[in-house]
Order: sequence, then structure tokens, then C-alpha cells
Amino acid sequence: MGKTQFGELEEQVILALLRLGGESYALPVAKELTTRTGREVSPATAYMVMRRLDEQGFLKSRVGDPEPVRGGRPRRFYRVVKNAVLPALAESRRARLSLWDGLEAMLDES
Amino acid sequence: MSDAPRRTPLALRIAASLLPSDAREDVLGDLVESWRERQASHGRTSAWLWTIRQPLVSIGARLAFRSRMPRTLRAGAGIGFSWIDVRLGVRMLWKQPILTIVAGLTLALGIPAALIPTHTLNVLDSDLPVEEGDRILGLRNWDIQRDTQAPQILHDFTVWRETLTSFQEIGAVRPTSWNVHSADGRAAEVVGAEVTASVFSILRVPPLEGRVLLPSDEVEGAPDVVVISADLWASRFAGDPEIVGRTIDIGRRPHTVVGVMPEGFYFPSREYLWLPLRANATNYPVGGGPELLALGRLAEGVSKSEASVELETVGARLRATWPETHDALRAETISFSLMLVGEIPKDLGASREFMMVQLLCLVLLAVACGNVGTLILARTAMRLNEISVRTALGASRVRILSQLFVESLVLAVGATAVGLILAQTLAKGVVDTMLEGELPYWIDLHLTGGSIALALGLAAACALLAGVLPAIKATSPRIQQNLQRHGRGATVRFGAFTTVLIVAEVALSMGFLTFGTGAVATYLIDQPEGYDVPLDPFLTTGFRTPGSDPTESKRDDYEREFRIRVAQNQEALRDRLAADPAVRRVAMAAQTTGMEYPARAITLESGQPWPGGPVNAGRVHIDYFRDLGIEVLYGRGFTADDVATGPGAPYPSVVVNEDFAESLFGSGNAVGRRVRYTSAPEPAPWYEIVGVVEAFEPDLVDAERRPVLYHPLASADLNPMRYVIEADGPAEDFLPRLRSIAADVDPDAVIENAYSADYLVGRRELENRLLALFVFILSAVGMMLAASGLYALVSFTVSQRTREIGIRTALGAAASDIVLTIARRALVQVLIGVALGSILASWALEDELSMPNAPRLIAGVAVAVVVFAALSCLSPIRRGLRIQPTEALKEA
Repeated sequence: MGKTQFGELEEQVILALLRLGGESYALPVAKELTTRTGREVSPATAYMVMRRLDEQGFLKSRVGDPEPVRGGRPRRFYRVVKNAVLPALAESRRARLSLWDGLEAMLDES
Repeated sequence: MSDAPRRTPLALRIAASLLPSDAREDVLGDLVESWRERQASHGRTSAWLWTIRQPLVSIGARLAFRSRMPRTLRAGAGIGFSWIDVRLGVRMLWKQPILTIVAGLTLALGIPAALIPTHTLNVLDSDLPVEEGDRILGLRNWDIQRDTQAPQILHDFTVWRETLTSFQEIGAVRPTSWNVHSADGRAAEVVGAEVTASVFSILRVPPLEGRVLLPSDEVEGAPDVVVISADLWASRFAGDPEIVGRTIDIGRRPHTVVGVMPEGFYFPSREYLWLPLRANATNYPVGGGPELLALGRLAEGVSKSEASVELETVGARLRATWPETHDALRAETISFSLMLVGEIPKDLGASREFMMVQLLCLVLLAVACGNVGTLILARTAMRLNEISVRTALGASRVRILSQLFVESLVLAVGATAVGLILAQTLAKGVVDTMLEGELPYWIDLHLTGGSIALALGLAAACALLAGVLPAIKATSPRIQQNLQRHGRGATVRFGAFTTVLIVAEVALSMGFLTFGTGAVATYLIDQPEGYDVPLDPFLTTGFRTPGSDPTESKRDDYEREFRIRVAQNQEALRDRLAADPAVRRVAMAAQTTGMEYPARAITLESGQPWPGGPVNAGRVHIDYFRDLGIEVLYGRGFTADDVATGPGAPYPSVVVNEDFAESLFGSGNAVGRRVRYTSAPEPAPWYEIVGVVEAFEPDLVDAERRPVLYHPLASADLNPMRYVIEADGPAEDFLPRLRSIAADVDPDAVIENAYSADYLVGRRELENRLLALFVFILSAVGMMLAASGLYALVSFTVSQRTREIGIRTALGAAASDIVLTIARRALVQVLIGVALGSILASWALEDELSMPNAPRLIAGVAVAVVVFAALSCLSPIRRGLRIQPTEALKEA
């Protein structure tokens, strides 16, 4: 099997999930992304990304209890499958840092 | 924040519904939770603004994250078009030339055809080509009982002119014609109009020389003046630089030329000279007077609807004042050009009839689209593997659909461009050759921006109908799943709709083709036999005695005296012509040489309709047979007694020709028998046959002998009366002499529509040929549609059954068996179509053409249709026969 490469938003969603303790649902993930990256992400978008990562085996989902604040609907929590995700994340980080190596000074100049 | 249940905003429900069904509830929960948080933290307005954005966000999320796909594809995951799609579309068209040609031609014919009704209406409804022509309106009385325009509006016009404030000026026109005498004494009919002086200020067209008409010219007793067109100035007066101030004879009165209008000015339709209109309403009863067309230019700042309301109000007042004559009349404004075209209701574009015609054209286009759609479905089916690979790589269905749409759009737009160019060229050709100088001068057949935009809209609709619907079918999840499970196989099917379409097309094209071939054989291949009598010396002309001065029309005995004058003129012209050494014979009739006699079905005394088809019924002067030397075989010719009852009721006596007598009564002698017209309203009068005459060939438009029935006419029953003249030499050479004799009889009387029989017969033949050609083109289009459907069906079958064909070839199946496998369904459809088409064709031929060899013709066309259908299947059948067993194994 070839190396897995996440898309940018996929990687950000996984990182946000990890920051939220490794398990959460779409709304907090979307808010975390918005807070950390400054990029407005809607719950629907976060949900669709997590759903696909679930289909691919990188996340696992479970259904919570019905919540009045959600009009009686339950939350769907997603948990990071660490042994599937971490090697790919590490590879992604390594590739990124390797590309950045020696270029940081350029950012200071600008 | 309250936890009490609240209604979920509609926008959020829409946003969730745009996502896959198993994600909706989860996301809706997230959205509702988020919305409530926002309400608490950002306030209601911000929360609502966020809410209404969510459906769009959902679409984006669904398209972008539906499944895993390479980033290169993800970038273009939306519906958006790109030039790459257009280039792909062009390449597909190039790679499949047969499909491109067949589908392209189908749409190239269908789209302009669907445009015809709207474009025609636009052309007829165009503004006059003058400064601010869109501010000029027609004013008229519409008769709601008879559904016609009431032309005698002199009294109304006078009131409108005095009271309406919505118009700067109102004018009136009365198109007519006069004898104009040129310097050498020659007189010729010139078409012109009597106009009020205001017409020129409404039109704002300055004269080329001299002046236009002035209000003072309209006063009774003012000097007679005329304004002429640049054409007339050049053709009749050789561009005489001293024309202004010169006197010319119009009728028997000299008129002073006061002005020449510039080139291209033929108001209102195609007129060449203008006289002042001197109609005074006080000389006529209400509802009487000359027939007029009224027009006005809107006052500054007044809209068309305001003017319309004011005119309707004044009209209602006049209705109350003159209830006897105006009860059924409704005053209304209408575009002047539409009013001039004729009896067109104001809201023609919204009328049921217009909608029906438009609908019919759109149905034709939809049939064309259905066919092109079938072709595209077959092509898409052949590309199923490509589509499923792209889907597997992550291309969304919408993405694939949008590419297929762009491909069809390229085809449809290309076809529209070709179709519009063809239509424009054809229209120009017809106008230049057949209608030269006959259309109103303001009619411009060129395509307008509106028509082109409409055509492009239709092209987009066609692309949707013919391209996207088949693609939706081919890319449906069910078919994609089947593909994944079974590989290539019978996944897309041609439904019952396609079968009905192909059968209907074969039947229709069979019907059209038979009719077209029949018409072509009659009018194009079988040249009409020559007349036994040479037509060259025959001339036919109308002769009209114009009414006298309007002031005289008040007199009680005017009608009677005018009739006497008309009769005297008509008989004097005939006698003068008969006495002329250059004339062999001359006679009067309603229809003369080269003109078609109306065909009517008749009923015999037994009450049975005569089965031999309609007979030709003409009206001739009581002296017609005597004047032409037509021999009376039995009974007698017409006498003055036959018309003694006056023109009020139908004259009861008729004379028939020998062909009529023989074909109806078996013997030459039909005298004393009675007939009547089948379609006449009850109680239909009976006509007694008082004589049988020999057949007179030049009566008829072609040399074929037919049953003819003659009704009698007295002098002055018609004005204009028509004359048939046999000259002692070529007819055209006699025309100047005819004009001079007519001018001698009455300088006011007008010779109009004078033609040689050769010209009339030639024109009729040309019309017949064009009609035949038109029917033939229609049948060719129908045939092409059917052929394209069959081609699509068979090539589709081949692509679907490749594996089966390959295996059967490997097992040693005969080629004939394989052909039958491939073409069975097409064959059945063609045979059903041919059977239905034969019924249609025999019905059409029986009713429209009395062709003796119709069954042979139908059989011939049926064979031709089957052969053509077979030919259109040939290429896919050959492809099927070339399938190798190894190919089939690959598929498995």
C-alpha cells in the first residue's frame, strides 16, 4: 500500500480532533479550526470531512445521547484511530518541515 | 438560552437536505446547536445571516468531500464550466463525424423551425424605419363580433384628431392606385395613397425635393397637388430636375408635383405617390366613408399604455353616442405595422392560435431533441467504462454531468449557428426571388438580437434535454453499481419512449416522403404537357372604375348610377378591344387564363355527393362563350335572362363543359339536370344546367382537362372585372395599346394586375415546384430523424451485446443470425412504422392528390424507406460482425 497523504483540510480536522482530546463532534471541531486557523469552517464541512475519514478507517464514530439543544438529535462523536493516523501525520509533518528547512529566514525578511 | 423546542429554521433544513441522507440528521443537529449558540453570542441578526448561508456551504461540502479524489480533480469538483470541457466537446464532435453531422443537422433544422412563429411576429410587429418609429402607433376600431378591423373610421378619426391629447398628431392613410400619364401620353397604374398632411410630420421624413403635403392642400377646392417617390421620379420622369412645379395627369385631372420623397420611402407599404386626403366626415353617414388607416405619434412623456387608455375611453364615449353603428366596435391602439398587415388581433402573441403554432414548433423541436438524445445516450453508453473510471477516481456525478452538458452545448450552439445562417440565407433568397418588391418596405427579415438570444436559449434547452437527460440515466448510481459488479453489460436500456419515437418517425417520414415524391413527380419531373393552344398571345388584366368625388356619394341614386357607369365602362372596353385589329378575341370573367378556378365538391339531385372529387367552378360574363367562340354542344349559352334577378341572390342557371357532363352523367347531354355545392350553407341553392359547352383549354392553369362549371356574371357584378384577351401577337407587346384604349374609355379607370398567361402559368409552376421542394425537404428531415434513431438503436445494441456476439461467432454462428440478433428490434420498429406510414400516405394521397398510381408509389416509397433504414444500420452491423471472440473474452 502506498503512502497516505491527507489533504490540507483533512489534516487540519484530524489535528483539531487531537487537540480536543482525540474525540469530539463536528461543531467543536469547526470552532477549533476557526479559532486556530482563522479560517471559517462550517459544521457541515467539518462533518463531511470526518465522515469520509471514518469511511477510510482513520476515524471511528459513535452516537451520543439525544440533546435538547440540538432539537432532540444526538451528537455523532468521531475518535482518531491513532495507529492509522499518526504515521501518516508524522510523514506529512516531516515532509512539510523538510520543505521548510532553510526557508524560515525568508519569512523574517518579508 | 432556553432549551424549549423551537422551530428549526427552513434554511438549515434545506442545508441538511442537500447532504447525503444518512448525514442529514447529524448535521442538522450540529447546525441547530451552532445556530442557537450564535443567537446567544452574536445576536439574532448575525445568526440569521449565518443561517441563510448554510445551504450554499452544504452544496460546497457535499461536492468537495463526497468521496476521496485526487486533488487535481477536487479543484474542479463544482459545476463550473471550463474551456477544457469546451475543447473536449469539440474534440468529441470531431472524433464522431457521423453523429455530429446527423445530430447537428437535426438541431440545425429544429431550432430555427421553433423560432419561426416568434420571429415572424417580431418581423411583422417592427417599428416603422423613421425617427423614433417606436413612438408611432396605429389607431383602429376592432369589431369584436366579426373579429376584424372595421375600416370605415372617418367619423371616429375626426373625433380622435380633435380630442386625443396623448398624441402629438394623428393622421390617416387610404392606399389606392391611379392611372398616371407620363409625358409621352402613356398611362400606367401606379400604387399610391391619399394621406393627411399630418402623416408627413408624424413620420418626420423630409422631402428630397420641394415640400411635403400641407394642411391647406386638404381643403376641398384647393389646387390638386401630388408628392411622388424617388423611384417614380426616376422611372417615369427620367429624374427630371424641373419636376417640382411640373403638372402630371392622374386619372383625368392634372396635378402639380410639389415634392419628391427620398429613396427608400414607400409609406405605408409600397406606395409611390401621395395625394392629399380630402375626406370630409360631414359628407358621409356615421360608419360610412372611405376605408382609412389611422396613425399617431405619441406626445412627449406619454406612454403607450396611457395613450391606449385614453383612446379606449374616447371609444367608449363614441359607442354611447352612436350605438347603432358602434355597438360591436372597440377603439384600440396597435403597432402600425401589425395593423397594416391585416386582420390581426392586438394580442396575437398571447392568442390561443399563436400559442398552438408555437407549441407545435416546439413539439417538433422536442422530437428532434429526443432523437439527438437517443444518439447521445448511445454514445454515453459506449463511454460507460470511461465514466465509471472517472467516478472511481473521485469525479462527482455533477462534474461528469456538467462535462456531458458542455459537450452537448457545443453541438447545439454549433448547430444553431449553422441553422440560423441557413435560415437567413433561405429567407433572403425567397425575398429576393419570389417576393421582390412585394413586401412592405419596413419589413426586415434579418435576425434580431432578441431572436438570436432566443435561439441560444433553445440551444441550451436542447443541450439539457438531449445531453443531460441521457447522461443522468447513464450515470445513475444503479448503473454504476451494476458496472462495478458485472463489468460491462446490459446496463442502459432504450425504453418504450424511444421505440414509440422511432416508429412515429418512420411512419411520418414514410407519409411525408410519399406525399413529397408524389408532389415532386407531379410538379418537378412530369413537366406539364403543353397546351394545344399557344399561350403566348393570351393576356389577362383587371379593369377598375374608381368611385366619383366623395361629395357625390351622398346622393340617393349614387349607387345605381355608379353601377351603370361601371357596366358602360366594362362593355365599352370589351367592344373597343374586340374592334381593335391587334385583338383576335376578348371576354370578361372573374377568373381568366392562368388563374385557378376554385375547386368545390358537389351534390347531385339524388342527394349523393359526387365521388369524382371537386369540380372547378368559375364565374364568367354572360357573353363569354360567344366572345371567345366556344361552341355550345347542347342546350344554350347564358342570356341576359340568366342575370335578370340582379346580383343580390345567386343566379340559378349554370353551364358546364363537356368533361363535366361526361364524367357526371355518362353522356354529353346534362341539360336540365341539377347540382348544388356540398359545403354551401343550408338551404344550399340548386343550380340547373342549361347548356354544355366544349372544353376551353386556356381557362385552366394547366393543360389537364377537368370538369368545369360556369356561373353567369352581368356587367358591373364585379369591379374590377377581369378580361382575357387573345392578341394577334405576343401578349406583352399589346399591353401599352391596352392601357391607351382603357384611358380612352375612361381616363380615371385603372388597368391593374395585367399579366401574360405565360407569366401566370410560369409563376404557378414555380410556386408548385417550391411547394414540392418544401414537402420533399420535410420528408427528408423526417427520414433523417428516423435514420438517426435507427442508427443509434443498432449501434447501441452492438455495443451492449459485444460479448454475446463474440461468443456466438466463436461457436460458429452464421453471419445472418448475428445480423438478425443485432437488427431485430430495429427491423420490427421499421416494419411497424412502414405499415402505419402506408396507411397515412394512402389517406393523404386519396385526399390531396388524385393519383392513379398511388399504390405503386406507396409500395416504392416503403421499399425505399426499408432500404434507407437498412443502410443507416449498415455501419453498426458491420462493426458487430467484425467483433472477434478474443474481444468478447476481454469483456468477460
